[in-house]
Amino acid sequence: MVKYGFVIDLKRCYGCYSCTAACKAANNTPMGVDFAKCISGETGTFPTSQRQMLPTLCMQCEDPECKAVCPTGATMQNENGVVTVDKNLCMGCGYCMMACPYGQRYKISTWKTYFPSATGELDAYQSYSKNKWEEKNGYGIASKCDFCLQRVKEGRLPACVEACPAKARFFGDINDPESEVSILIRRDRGFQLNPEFGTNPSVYYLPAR
Amino acid sequence: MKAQTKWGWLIAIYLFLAGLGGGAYIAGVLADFAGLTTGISQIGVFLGLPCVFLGCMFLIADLGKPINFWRAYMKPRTSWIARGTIIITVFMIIDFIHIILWIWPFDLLASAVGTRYFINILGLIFAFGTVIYTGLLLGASRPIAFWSTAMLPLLFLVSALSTGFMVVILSSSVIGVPKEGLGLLERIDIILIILEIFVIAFYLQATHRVSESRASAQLVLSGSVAPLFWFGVAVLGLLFPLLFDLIGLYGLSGSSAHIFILLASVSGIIGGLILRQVVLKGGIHAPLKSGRFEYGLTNV
Repeated sequence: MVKYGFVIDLKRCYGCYSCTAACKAANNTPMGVDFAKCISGETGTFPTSQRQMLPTLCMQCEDPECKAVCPTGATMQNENGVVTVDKNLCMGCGYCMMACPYGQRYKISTWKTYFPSATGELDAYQSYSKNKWEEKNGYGIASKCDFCLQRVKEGRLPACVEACPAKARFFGDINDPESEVSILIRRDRGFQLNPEFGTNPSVYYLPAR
Repeated sequence: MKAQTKWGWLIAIYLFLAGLGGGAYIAGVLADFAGLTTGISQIGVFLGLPCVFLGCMFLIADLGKPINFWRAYMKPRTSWIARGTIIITVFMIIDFIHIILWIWPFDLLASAVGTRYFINILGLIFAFGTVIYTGLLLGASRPIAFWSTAMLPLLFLVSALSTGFMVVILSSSVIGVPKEGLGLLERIDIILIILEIFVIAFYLQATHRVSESRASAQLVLSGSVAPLFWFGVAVLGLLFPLLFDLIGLYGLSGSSAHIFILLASVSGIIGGLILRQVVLKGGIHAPLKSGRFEYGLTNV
């Protein structure tokens, strides 16, 4: 069975947020929702301080905490391991947001625009974006990254993978030992974030070396 | 590191009312088994349903899409919210039957003691379920070390019993039930408050000792949540009730003793609500660790 997974190379990532922007464009996420967000981190003190950007997205865990705690069954997992939310079943309790160890569930109460106008009217682009968002998601309910399943079904790559200028993101079948992602994980010592939570995430990181 | 902001006062009020209602019902049933004045046990049993029901209203109000609330029953196999929804629904049904057949409009259970005791035990099981499951629900959030500790259900249980006893004492005094039976409840309540002091102390000590939850414990003891904790929980919820109860039971007598007992109950009940809010506001997710870097979560 094909199991979709990601590899993110932390040596190549230089924190340009292209993935965040591309995901936002592809999924029409409103303000407050960033399926592919990058978190900035620093250690040490000058002159020996270091910075490392951590690009994150839904880990599509094999044993997801979010699916286990969802009381309505809105959170489901398909045969490829991708976790999705059915907007008609979700009641917006927020339990998944507490349970997700990776902070990849989002819930907003209303649609907020990045470009407020004096009259409060939305231009054509924003109306389009709002409508596309409301097709698959809503307000007061949970939303999350779904590995761009729509695009993958058409044979394309997820938006963040295509957009990354450093070629730091890879997508493929982690059940296939000969796929690009599997080879990268094995060869370059790919690791999972916080494996102690026992969810077995499908996103692997290559150490910055 | 910042604590979660999604579950706030509305959820705290629900947790508190579920504990209060369940605890009051337990107090009422125990008073019935102990043979105390019927009025006292009837008050306890009567308070269970409206408190838990009102709590559910707050819960539904907090939902992002309240119209789907009825779907909360769907996944009891893995979800504590689903299990809890079933538990409190069954509790409310049992309490409803208990009230109708014993308090108003019927009086059948007054003489049918065997049946009444059977309903008592059934209701007791689900009342305990109601007050304990909320601790287990929070505990299922594995990345929040402040919540996923074995002590939390115990803490919620002791707090629910303590506030439950207090609300029965308070209501009985207000309604004017004869005082003999109340003395026993008040004494048990003092023991419950002392127990609660120990449990809260152990809870904070344990969460402080474990590195994953230390930030949360520090937030509660000396950080932004500290005023709420020290004044709302330590003083209002524990110190005042204990002091006023002791003064009322052993120091004074007559109507001034009565007033101290009432003050102790009111103070303790408020403290029970603030305790839930303190636990919620102390919930910090474990940071993501990659190499030598730690990243705090930003979505909650």
